[in-house]
Amino acid sequence: MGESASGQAILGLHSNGRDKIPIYSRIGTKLIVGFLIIAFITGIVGYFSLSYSQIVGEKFHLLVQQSIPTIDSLKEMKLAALNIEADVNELTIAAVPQKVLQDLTVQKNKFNEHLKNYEGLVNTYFPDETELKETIHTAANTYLQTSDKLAGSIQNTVTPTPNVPPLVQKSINEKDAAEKAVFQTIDTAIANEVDEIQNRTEAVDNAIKNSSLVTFASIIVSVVVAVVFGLFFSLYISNPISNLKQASIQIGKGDYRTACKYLSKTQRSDEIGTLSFEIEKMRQSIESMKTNLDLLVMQRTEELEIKNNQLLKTEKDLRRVNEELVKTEQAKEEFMSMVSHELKTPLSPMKLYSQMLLKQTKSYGKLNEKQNKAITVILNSIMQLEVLISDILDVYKLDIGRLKINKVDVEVEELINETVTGFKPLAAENGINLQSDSRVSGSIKCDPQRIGQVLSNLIKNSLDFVPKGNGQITIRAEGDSIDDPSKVTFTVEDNGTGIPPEKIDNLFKKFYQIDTTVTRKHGGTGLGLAISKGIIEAHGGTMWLDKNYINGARFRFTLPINGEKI
Amino acid sequence: MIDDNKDLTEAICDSLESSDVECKIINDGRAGLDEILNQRGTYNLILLDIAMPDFSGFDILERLKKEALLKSENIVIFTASSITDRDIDDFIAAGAKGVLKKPVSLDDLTELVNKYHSKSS
Repeated sequence: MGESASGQAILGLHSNGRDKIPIYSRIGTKLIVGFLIIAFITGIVGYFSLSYSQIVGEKFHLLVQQSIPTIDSLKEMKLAALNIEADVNELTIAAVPQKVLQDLTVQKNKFNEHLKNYEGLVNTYFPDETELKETIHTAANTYLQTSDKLAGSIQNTVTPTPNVPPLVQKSINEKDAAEKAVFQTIDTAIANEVDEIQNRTEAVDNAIKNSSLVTFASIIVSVVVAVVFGLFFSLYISNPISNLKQASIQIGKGDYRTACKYLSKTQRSDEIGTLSFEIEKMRQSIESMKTNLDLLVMQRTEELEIKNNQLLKTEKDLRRVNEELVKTEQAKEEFMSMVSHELKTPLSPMKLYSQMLLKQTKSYGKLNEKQNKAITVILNSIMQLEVLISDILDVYKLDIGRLKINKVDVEVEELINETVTGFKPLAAENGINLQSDSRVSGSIKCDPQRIGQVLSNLIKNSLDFVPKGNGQITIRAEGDSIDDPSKVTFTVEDNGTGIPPEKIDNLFKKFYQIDTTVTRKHGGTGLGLAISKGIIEAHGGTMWLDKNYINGARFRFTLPINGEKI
Repeated sequence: MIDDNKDLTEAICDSLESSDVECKIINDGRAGLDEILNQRGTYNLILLDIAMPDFSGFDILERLKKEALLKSENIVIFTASSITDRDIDDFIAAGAKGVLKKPVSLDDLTELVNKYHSKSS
């Protein structure tokens, strides 16, 4: 009962929102959320990377924008200053002073220009460094002044003297001092800028390093998060699938309890949950089907058992009936032996003694007329009884299908002649013409005794019914070569009184006699035709009365040549 | 003549008397068998009934077949059973001389006896 309760619990979980899984429960949703988280993390990583890159850029920008131009200006200033110095020196020995003066002006302008540049930059980017700027400004101006003064001094000295005039010398000294000062300040400023550049470069380097670290760490974190997420999610999906697989296996094995246990592990609100739900439904349905089936099988087995018992009982009954039938058959056999033996037993001595008495041998003496008549009648009665017993036995055998037919090859002509010959004396005695007419040259397979019996029976009947002195009996045999080469047709016809039409139907029935007065006289039992028909049919042939023959009686029968049923 | 029916054996013997034939009657199967075994070659003709109580004609024939006497003695089976009985056919094939149907007519009997009586002389 427990499994169906938990099974119902599984079903109950979904009984409301079976068709629509809430969005937040769906696997897709969770997957999207997971990926979004990863994307978010990646985004954060990106963001940090970007910020650090920005810092790098910024710093670099500063470098390019501020420090380097500043230092360039200072260097240009220094260069210009050097050129001024060179020009001033050149003045002293210049052959064409005008050119030098021109160049000097150019250089002075350049110097000023660069000084202005420098000052501009400092004002913009290093507003705090006013001191240095002032110093340079002062130094620069002083230098320019002294250079100009010197240049003027030199120009004013018309004649070149080996010694340097003291005024010029003073200018020179002043210029030198100013030069020294300006160079010094410029160098200091340059040094400062170099420092500054170095600082900024270091800052850029740091920023880059940090950025790399952050990126690297973020990548690792991302990978870890992605892997972990992937693992968890795949387990999230594959675990329940594995459970469902187990559940299916158990259902397949027929272990519905264990299946239910696995299914209860997969109760969820997402797609897998609904799958689990449906599988649970299926499990229940299969379980109940199996229960029903088992029940049905049991019922059927019971029914079959009952039927089987009935059959066994019937079989027993049948067996018993069979035994009884066998006994009945045995009884018939015994009866037959009894008839054939016991009834005939007294007949043997009866017949012998009667015959012996009639023979009138020495030991038995002569008989008078009355004695003769009496014994003759006795003997005749014995003969009749003999025939009757034989007929009854034959009829009985035919009835129970036990008439034995021993088929051998028999010459047709010979059979007919043999039978006919036996009757010739009796026929002649009564003036009856008995003829045989065999139109068949070969032989057929039949029982000669029995067929002879049939022919004898027919001849005997004819003898009883033909007119004395003018009787005609013909026995014919012909093969049907045109219609049916497989049989021989026998005919026994006479010119007697024939068969009245109303008696034809019953002709071959047992104990039926046309005219009891006639047959009784000659010992007829009415069994002859029945037995004859039975014998012919046992051979596979047919026997009938030819109704179209009006001159007397014509009996016909067919026999298959090969002894098999036609 | 081996047959359990006393009337019949009497009748047969009486009927043969007129033909000057000596007839020995034995009404018991075993006794009949013993007689044949002990008196081999003595008899011209042995009429043997089949249906006898205790020791039947078939039993005698079996024994004679074993002793290979079936051929040497002239044995005619004397029976009311149908001539086409298969067992009888077997014994005829094994050497019995024939079958005589009951109830026997005087003529048939005389004919048979003459056939074997003349042989001896």
